[in-house]
Amino acid sequence: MTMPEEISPDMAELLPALSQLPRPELPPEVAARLDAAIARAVADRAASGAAQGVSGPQGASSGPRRAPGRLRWRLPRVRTFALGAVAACAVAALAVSLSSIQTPETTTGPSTEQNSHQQLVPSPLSTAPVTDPALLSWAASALQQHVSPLTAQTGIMNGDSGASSSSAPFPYPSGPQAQFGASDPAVSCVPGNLVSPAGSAPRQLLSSVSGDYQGQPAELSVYTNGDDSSSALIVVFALPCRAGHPTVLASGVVPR
Amino acid sequence: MGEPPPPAARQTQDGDLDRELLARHVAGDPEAFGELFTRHRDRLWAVALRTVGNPEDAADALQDAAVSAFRAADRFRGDAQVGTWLYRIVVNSCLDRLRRRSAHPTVAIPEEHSQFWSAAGRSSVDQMDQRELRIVLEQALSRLPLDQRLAVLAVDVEGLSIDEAAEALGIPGGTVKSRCARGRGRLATMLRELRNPPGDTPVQGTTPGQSPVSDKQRGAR
Repeated sequence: MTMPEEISPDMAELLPALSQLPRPELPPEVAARLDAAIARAVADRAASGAAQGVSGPQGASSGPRRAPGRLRWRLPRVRTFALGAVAACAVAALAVSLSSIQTPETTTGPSTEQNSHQQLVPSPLSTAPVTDPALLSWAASALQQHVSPLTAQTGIMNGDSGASSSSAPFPYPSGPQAQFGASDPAVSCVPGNLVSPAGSAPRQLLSSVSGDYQGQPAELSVYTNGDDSSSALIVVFALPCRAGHPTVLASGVVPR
Repeated sequence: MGEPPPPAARQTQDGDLDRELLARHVAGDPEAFGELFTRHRDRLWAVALRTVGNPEDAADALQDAAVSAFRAADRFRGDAQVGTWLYRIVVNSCLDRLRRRSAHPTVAIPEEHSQFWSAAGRSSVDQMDQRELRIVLEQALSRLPLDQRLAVLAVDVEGLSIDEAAEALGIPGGTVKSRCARGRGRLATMLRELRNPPGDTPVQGTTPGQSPVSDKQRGAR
């Protein structure tokens, strides 16, 4: 690009000089002002986000955005519907949660029979022979105190008393223990009868005794084992009971 | 280790980092915008100061621009460089401030603010010439009509491409070119006159804000 003769020398000097003009230094006080202004904007946004439950660059200064026109009157209905749906889901989830019996793995082997709890959602109860000596001892104690004659003996069933998978301390009743019957208010959550599978006789409560099972308060209840008068079904419930929905800690069959 | 990346690659990396910081800011990162603005604030300060002509208004304009950019980050379209977007916000903030105070298109730089332009030492004739040239050039720039000054600042001083300048100034590229051409021509003429006033010796050591011609004439009287 050619320039007029009288301008060209100036321009040749001008353009490099312009490109090499040193930048004015940012004064520290201006830098501090900028930092403070940005910090305020950040704080405003944080406050706005905390108040509105949203995070965005608009911050508190711009305030909440309003829904335009026709949407505005619809939003309350949508919110009401959403809240109702959430509440319904929560109630349903709570009902499901309360209606189930928490049944951890028992120490007496896999479940072979489905038993039902009176007025409760059935949960698997093990009817395998109890092999845990401490549990057998506790069951025998309960049977002897409440039901007679019982012949509960440790290791009678399998003779492998050491085969219990429970390795935790088993401080069952040591000394006098409060004894509870099926109608005792303190154990009102313990069902008096267990509903058996269709066609079977109900399992009736024979006795119940409180104690300590694997470090937590529990109650051992003894039920009839169908038509087999030589054995009984024991169920260990966690204490305190949860509003009529006991948690089963262990179950199994012991000899009578 | 490796050599530093070439300027184009560095520019791309800088642009990527800018975008990342802006995205983090939009996502709620409280540190991101401060980091982003710090990366550009020296340049933006220069733009603001050369646009409005005094540090008080420049500081106000830059602060307003920072807050505006903070709030408008979610509206950044992404079809320009973040630096160009910030440049535009600063220019608009400066123009608002100039309008509010009914500023004239030509802004003189007061003498007491000459400290903001880094002055070279005067230990040699070459350095003295360079310093003189810069001071005179700053004066000449400040006397350009605002539209031409903005174009020359963007393209010739800050090194934006025509497209970037068009984006930053919100005008067509052709307008940028024509304003640059007119501004350069005027600058060259002013430069020649300022440095070599007719019938007198060249001006030396003139500070911004003082009219070299007036000083010379005052001294001659």
